[in-house]
Amino acid sequence: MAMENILGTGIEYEKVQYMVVRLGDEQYGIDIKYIDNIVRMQPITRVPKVQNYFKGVINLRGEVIPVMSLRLKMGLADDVFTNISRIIIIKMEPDASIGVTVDEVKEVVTLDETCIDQVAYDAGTKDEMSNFISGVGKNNGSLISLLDLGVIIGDKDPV
Amino acid sequence: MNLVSELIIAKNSLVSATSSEEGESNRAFNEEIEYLESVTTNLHESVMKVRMVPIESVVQKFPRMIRDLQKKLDKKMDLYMYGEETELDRTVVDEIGDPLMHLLRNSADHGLETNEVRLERGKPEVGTIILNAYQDGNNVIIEVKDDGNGIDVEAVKAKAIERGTISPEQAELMSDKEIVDLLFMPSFSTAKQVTDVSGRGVGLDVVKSKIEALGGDVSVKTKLGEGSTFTIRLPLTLAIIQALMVEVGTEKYAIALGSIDTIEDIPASDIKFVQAKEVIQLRGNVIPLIRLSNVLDANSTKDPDENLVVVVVKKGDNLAGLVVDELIGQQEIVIKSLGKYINSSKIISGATILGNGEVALIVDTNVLL
Repeated sequence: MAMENILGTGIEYEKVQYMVVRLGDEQYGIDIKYIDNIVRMQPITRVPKVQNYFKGVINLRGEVIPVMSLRLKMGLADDVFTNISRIIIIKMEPDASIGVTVDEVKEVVTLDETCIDQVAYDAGTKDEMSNFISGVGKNNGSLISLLDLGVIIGDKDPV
Repeated sequence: MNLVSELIIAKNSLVSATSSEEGESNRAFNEEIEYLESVTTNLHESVMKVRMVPIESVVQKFPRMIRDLQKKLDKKMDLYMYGEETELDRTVVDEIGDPLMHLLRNSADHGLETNEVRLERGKPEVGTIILNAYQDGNNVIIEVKDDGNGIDVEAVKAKAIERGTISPEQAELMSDKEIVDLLFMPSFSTAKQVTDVSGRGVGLDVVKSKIEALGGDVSVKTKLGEGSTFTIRLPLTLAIIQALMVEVGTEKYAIALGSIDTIEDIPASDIKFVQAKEVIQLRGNVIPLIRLSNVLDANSTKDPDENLVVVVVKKGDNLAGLVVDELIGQQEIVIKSLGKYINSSKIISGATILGNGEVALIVDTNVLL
């Protein structure tokens, strides 16, 4: 994708916009092209006998959408919903939406390749968390873990 | 179709909005709502009717297929078809062709014996396969019946043990029906020889998963030496059903009205125990009790000494009593899928949106029986 060359360096970097969300003290980035919607917390209908990180389903304008807890999926402590908690509706394929709960939605940042470091995997010590992250973005001195949505919502663990 | 669903959801919200504020002034309003309700129900019925097509379009190619198989297998057989005019939702009709063809091929290849064997056993030389379709309440039943050899339970057992699907100890404890159900496991074939007709091991499990994807189920009855019957049960409509809303703990669930036999009020003292399982006696039948609160991991809010509200559900000839906390009432509900990401257990067949915007889950009672 050819992007406008603003810096005039003659090198073109691919720019990606990320939605920055907060989970606990950490910031995570979600590629904005997959985000369909951001909704306020609302009653979630529990679904029995599903993967533990699924909070249940919600009604979004007549559609039933499953909601997963990003915290539980990544092995963090369970969510405590507050006024600033949000459900981010992600649509990676047409006709298949999924909601993820986050503690807070902060801002949209634009990162180009130079600001993104690949996570250094060490195959031996590869822990669960690093599987969910495709890279680390630097934005004005703060670090943003960029979530690999394909891994987070794609795989189907047995119940 | 989706528009009709939307209309019904909107109507349900109107109904629940009016019922919440009772008053003399909105009497006329209520009447209009009731009128709207009957209009939407009629509209829904008309739309459903338009979508219904007879299964004829699918089954008409089967006689030809059987004639071809006759030559290929060198067996004489006749196919009788009944109820071709039975109607099903178009989306279902499009999908059942392959599973039915598979079952017919199975019957022709594994089911029927060769003509010589048939004569030896004192059966008519020409084998018979019957395809029978009929409507049963909210379901359509399609049976594929043959008068062949039937399923050899011992052979299935031996094969299952050989393949390591079950251990010999398990096999001892299993009933014949459970053994036969093993045939629906992935890559399980008892055919001793693989032919190009069937026996490749991908088969009944594919049939089963296809039928289940359509919201139906498949079962088999067999008698060695006399033949077997595969029964496919399919829901008549896919999108909108009449359901009974019940409360379990603080949660609301929907049970399809078509699967409900009766609703009973049972004193807690009437519960008996058979093999440490709760049962009740009802008009001469012993019916197992299933506490929905346990199955659904919900906390029942009811006092255990109070009378039980038991929803008796049926599947074919089987009955079971589902214990719920409260009955809410009958309602037309629109079935929505839970989406592909959530690995819901089979008990929950979908969800629906209630008048107040809440999501309620639909309990598939066929799985519980």
